[in-house]
Amino acid sequence: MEPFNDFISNISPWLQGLLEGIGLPDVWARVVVLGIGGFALAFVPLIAVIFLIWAARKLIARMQDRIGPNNSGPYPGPYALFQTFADAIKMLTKEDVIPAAADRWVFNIAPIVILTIAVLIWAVIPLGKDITGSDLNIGIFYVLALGSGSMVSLLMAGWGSDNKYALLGALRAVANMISYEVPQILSVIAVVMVAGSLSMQEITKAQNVPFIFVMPVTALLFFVSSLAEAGRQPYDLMEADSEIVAGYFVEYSGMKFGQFYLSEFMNNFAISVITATLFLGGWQGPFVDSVPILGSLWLLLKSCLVFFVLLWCWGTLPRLRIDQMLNFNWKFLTPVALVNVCIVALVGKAVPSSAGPWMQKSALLGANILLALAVLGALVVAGRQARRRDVSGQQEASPA
Amino acid sequence: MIPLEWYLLLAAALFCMGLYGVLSRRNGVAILMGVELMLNAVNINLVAFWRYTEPAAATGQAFALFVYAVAAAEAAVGLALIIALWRTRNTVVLEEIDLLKG
Amino acid sequence: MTLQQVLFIIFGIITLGAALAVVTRRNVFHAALFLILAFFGVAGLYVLLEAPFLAAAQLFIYVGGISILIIFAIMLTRDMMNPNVAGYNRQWWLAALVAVALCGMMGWVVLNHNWPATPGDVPPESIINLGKALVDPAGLVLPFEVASVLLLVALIGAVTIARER
Repeated sequence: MEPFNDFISNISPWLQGLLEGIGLPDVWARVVVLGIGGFALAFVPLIAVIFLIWAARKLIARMQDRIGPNNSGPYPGPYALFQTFADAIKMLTKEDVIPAAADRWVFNIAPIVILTIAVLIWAVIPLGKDITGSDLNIGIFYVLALGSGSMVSLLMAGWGSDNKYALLGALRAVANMISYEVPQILSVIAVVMVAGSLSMQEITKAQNVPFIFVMPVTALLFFVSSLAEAGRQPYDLMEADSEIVAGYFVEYSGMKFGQFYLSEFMNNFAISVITATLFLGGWQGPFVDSVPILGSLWLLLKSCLVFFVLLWCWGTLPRLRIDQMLNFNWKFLTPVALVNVCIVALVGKAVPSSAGPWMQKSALLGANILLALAVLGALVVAGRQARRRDVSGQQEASPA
Repeated sequence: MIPLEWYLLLAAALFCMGLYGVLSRRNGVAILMGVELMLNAVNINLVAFWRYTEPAAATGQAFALFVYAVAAAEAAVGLALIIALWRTRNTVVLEEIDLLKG
Repeated sequence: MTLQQVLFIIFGIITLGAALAVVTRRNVFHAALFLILAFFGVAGLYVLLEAPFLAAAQLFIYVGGISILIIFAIMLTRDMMNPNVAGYNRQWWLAALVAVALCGMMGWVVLNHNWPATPGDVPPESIINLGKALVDPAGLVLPFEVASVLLLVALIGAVTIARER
C-alpha cells in the first residue's frame, strides 16, 4: 500500500531508472521524464475544462429557468455529459474562414498563443502535498506575469481580423485587463506578506487557517479583479454575446474559435484553482498526510466551489459599461486595495506571529472587518449624498 | 557552465542591432523599439556580470530592476510624445519634423 | 554540449533572430510582435542566469506593459499602410557599417580580456535578499524611492502630453 499511496511521486524516479537502463545519459533522461510529466500535466486542465463547460451550461440554464443540454437520444450521453465532445467535433468539421484582407500569420498564431499561455499557468499550481509541476520560488508572480502576457494575443486577434469592431473590442478588452491588474496584484501582495513567500506550495503550507478567514477583504478583492481579468460577467463586455457578438474573435470560425473558447474556460478554471490555493487552503484537508493523492481531490472540490460562485455571478448579474468598469476600478478597488495592503503590513508587524498562534490571525481578521465596515460606511454616505443631489436636481428642474 | 564571454557577445550583438534600428528607421515608434532592444542588451550584461562575479549580493538584480523602471518611464513619455506629434503634425516620420531646421 | 549550452543557443537564436526582424521588417506591427518574441527570449536568458524574479519582471513590465503601449501607439498613429513611405532613411548603409564596427570592437574587447569570473552559487533566498536590499537604509532605498518618484512623474507627464485639447 505504501508505494501506491504516493504513486505520483514514485513514477518519476522509476521512469528515470528505466531510461538510464536503456543507456541515455543522466541529464537527457531527466529531460525526457520532465517532458512526459509536462505533457501529462497539460492534459489536466483540458480534461477538466471539458466537463466544466458542460457543468457551466447546465447550471446557467437552471439559473435562467430552463434545462440546458439534455439527453435527446443516445448520442450526447446521459444528461448530455458528452455535449462538449459533440461541440468539439462540430467545430473541427467547420470550414476555416480567413478574411481576405487579414494578416494571415498574425490571425493564425493568436489562438495558439492564448491557448499556450492558458496551459502554462498550470505548471506551478500545487496539486497535492508534494505534487506540483515545478515548485518555482516565484510561483504566484509567474502566474500573474503570464496573465499579462495573454493580452498580446488579444491584440493580435483584434488586429489580424481586419475588422473595426474586432479591433475596438480588443483595445477595450486590453485596457480593461491592464486596469484590473492593479488591485489583483495588490491583493496578492497582501497574501504574500502574510505567507512569507512567493512560492505557491509555501503559501498553501502556511495556511493552517485558510486565508479567507484571515483576510476576507483581500479574498474578495482578488476574486473580483480576477473576474474582470478573465472577462466573466459582470465584466462581460469583452465578448458580450448579445451586443457585439464575440468581440475580438468575431472573425474566427471552426477550431480557432474553439481554441479561444477553450482558453477562456481554462482561464476561468485557473482563476478558481488559484483562488482556492491562495485563500481556501489548496490541497489541505483531512487525511492528506497519509494519502497524498487526496490533496488533489480537496483542491478539485474547493476550486469547483469557487467556480460555482463564478457561474453564479455569470448567470445573475447584469453587464457593466466600459466607463462604469473603469470607474469602479480606479475610484473604488485600487484605493481599497492600497489601504488593505497598508493595514495588513501594519497589523502584521504590530502583532508578530511569535505572539501566539491565533493572535496575529485574529488581529488581521479584525483589521479586515474594520476596513470592510469603513468602506461600507463610506459607500452609504456617498450614496446618500448622490441621492440628495439627484432629488434637488429634480426639484430645480421640475418647476421650469 | 556557460562561459561569461558568450553572454557578453550576445548582449553586444543585441545592442548593435538596436543601434542599427535607431539610426536607420524612419518611423518614430520603430526607433523606440530599437531603444528598448538596447536597454535589454544592457540588462543582460548587468545580470551576467552579477551572476559571474558576486552572486551573493543583491545589487546586480536591483540595478537591472532600476533599468526596468527607467525604461518603462521613458517608453511611456516617448510614446505620449509620438501620439501628440501625430495629432498636430499628422506624421510619425521623424525626418519630417524639421520646423526648426536652418 | 551540456543541456545549459543547448538552451543558451536556443534562447540566443530566438533573441537575436527576433531582434534582427524588429529592425528590418517594413510592417511596424510585425516588428512590434517580433519585439515581444525578443523579450521572451531575454526572459529565458534570465532564467538561465538564475535570476527568476527578473525573468518574471521582464515578462510583466516589457511584454505586459511596454509592448502593449507600443502596439497602442502603432494603432493610434497608422500611416504604415502607405506603401510609398520607405522603411529606412537614406543613410542605412552607414548605420549598418557603424553597428557592425561597434559589434566587432566590443567582441574583440570581450574575447581578449581576462574576465575575473568566479561563478559561485546563488544563495537560495536571493529574492528575500533582493527585497531586503531594496528597503535597507544602508542599501538601495534611495534609488528605490527616486525610481518611484520618476515613475509618478512619467505617468503624469505622459497623461498630460497625450491628452485631447
